[in-house]
Amino acid sequence: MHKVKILIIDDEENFCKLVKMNLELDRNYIVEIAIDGKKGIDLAKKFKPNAIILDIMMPKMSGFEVLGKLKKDSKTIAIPVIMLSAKEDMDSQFKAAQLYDELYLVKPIDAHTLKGKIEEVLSRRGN
Amino acid sequence: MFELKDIKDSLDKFVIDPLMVVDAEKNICVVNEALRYLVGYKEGELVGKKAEVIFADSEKSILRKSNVEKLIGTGTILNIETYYQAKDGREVPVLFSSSVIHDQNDKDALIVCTARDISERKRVEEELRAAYEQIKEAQDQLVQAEKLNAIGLLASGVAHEVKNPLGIIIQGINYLQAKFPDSEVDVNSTFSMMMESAKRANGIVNTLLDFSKAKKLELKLEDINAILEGALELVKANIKFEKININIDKNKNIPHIFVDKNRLEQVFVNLIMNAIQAMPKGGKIFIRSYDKNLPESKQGIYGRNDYFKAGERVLVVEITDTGEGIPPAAFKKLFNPFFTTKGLHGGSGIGLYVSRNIIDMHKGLIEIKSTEGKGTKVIIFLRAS
Repeated sequence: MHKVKILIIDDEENFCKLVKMNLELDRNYIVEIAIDGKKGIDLAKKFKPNAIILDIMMPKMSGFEVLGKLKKDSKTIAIPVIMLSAKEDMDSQFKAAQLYDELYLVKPIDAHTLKGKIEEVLSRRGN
Repeated sequence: MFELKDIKDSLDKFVIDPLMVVDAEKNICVVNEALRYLVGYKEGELVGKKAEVIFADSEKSILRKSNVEKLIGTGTILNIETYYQAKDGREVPVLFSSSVIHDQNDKDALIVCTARDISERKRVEEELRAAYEQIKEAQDQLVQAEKLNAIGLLASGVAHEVKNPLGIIIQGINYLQAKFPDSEVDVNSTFSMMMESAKRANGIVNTLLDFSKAKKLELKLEDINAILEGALELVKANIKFEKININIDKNKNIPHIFVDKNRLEQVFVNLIMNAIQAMPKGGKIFIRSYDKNLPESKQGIYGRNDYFKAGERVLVVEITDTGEGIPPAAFKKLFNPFFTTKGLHGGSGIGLYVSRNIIDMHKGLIEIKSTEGKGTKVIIFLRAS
């Protein structure tokens, strides 16, 4: 069966580990973690995930900078991105939804809802 | 010896302040033209009457109709503020003085009473007082707005910092729940309690974000009646109210308007909950929606002029309870954040503050009318176009 590969880019390492553990409870999921934007972009190119979960407020490179670079690179342009942030301002949501047509979710989110949203995004993109 | 009638012409011509002469029995003997003009009596109408006839029985002065006969004639009175009562009932503020004149044999006495019309001074004083009150209120509101702005910034910063660890806690609980079999009843119920608490903490953070206005509106064309019904369903799902009767009167023809459905629902839930909590022994809640043309203009919060113009079409939602009402002392503080009349365990005191912010963000208005012991009516005005 085709495995679902997810990349999480978030500077909250514990959050990344727990999301990975929860998603991998479903043996069909393989999850990789990057705790900063640069590593995330590199990993996206190598790992070729089906979807990326991306935090916004990160040191060094913000989630929107990462998103911009992913959308400019032919290797990563088609990967759907789920923005997941504790930042709940409408400007960010507008940017994610209107500029890049990406889903924006707000922390905290439970594992069941997150998995549901990932599946929704994947089915929308025909994965 | 001059007769009083001989000096009357002089009093009319040369004494510009209102003046009267009263005899020892306090009967009016002479009245000059200035006094007749001030109190609106014709010549001859006052002479022979008791002096008290031109005094108002005003609580605002120590010299008034009920005691004037006792007080004048006992000595010199100098510049006491009192009120004359005009023939048409008007009260005229005056600065009153009187002096007693005795005849050569000290057998007879006359009392000369003068008054200076201080209506203009009083009017200016009142205007100054009102202007001072207005400035003081504006200053208080500015200070309050500054404070709230600072709290808002703090709240949105704190909210962000709290939501990240909450995310970890919730994901952690999810993982443990998945790892423990359903047969571990105590463990699973502990996880449920932890999850419930984490979500409650998230709810408080969201309220803080509302408080700080960090969230913005998602405006869509909505049916206010449907939002009211939704709010009522939410309240019913969370609260038992056997002793409370809710009567809803919706005008089905009111226009759909651009509002943020979730935010407005939050306002209605707040207000209905307040109404329920105001009736611990039970009672009635009347919910009414309708539209109308405003008969007069309405000020916005912080005294913004003509927020709604007279004749403007508005959509009105009224929520009325038959509860305890609001004590007058509490009324001015109702919309202050963290103010509550519900005691320590009744509420956080930000429900009405947040509700007003939400209505204000919709460029609407919220008004409260309350009679202690009878109940409270909250009226929301929203723009119909």
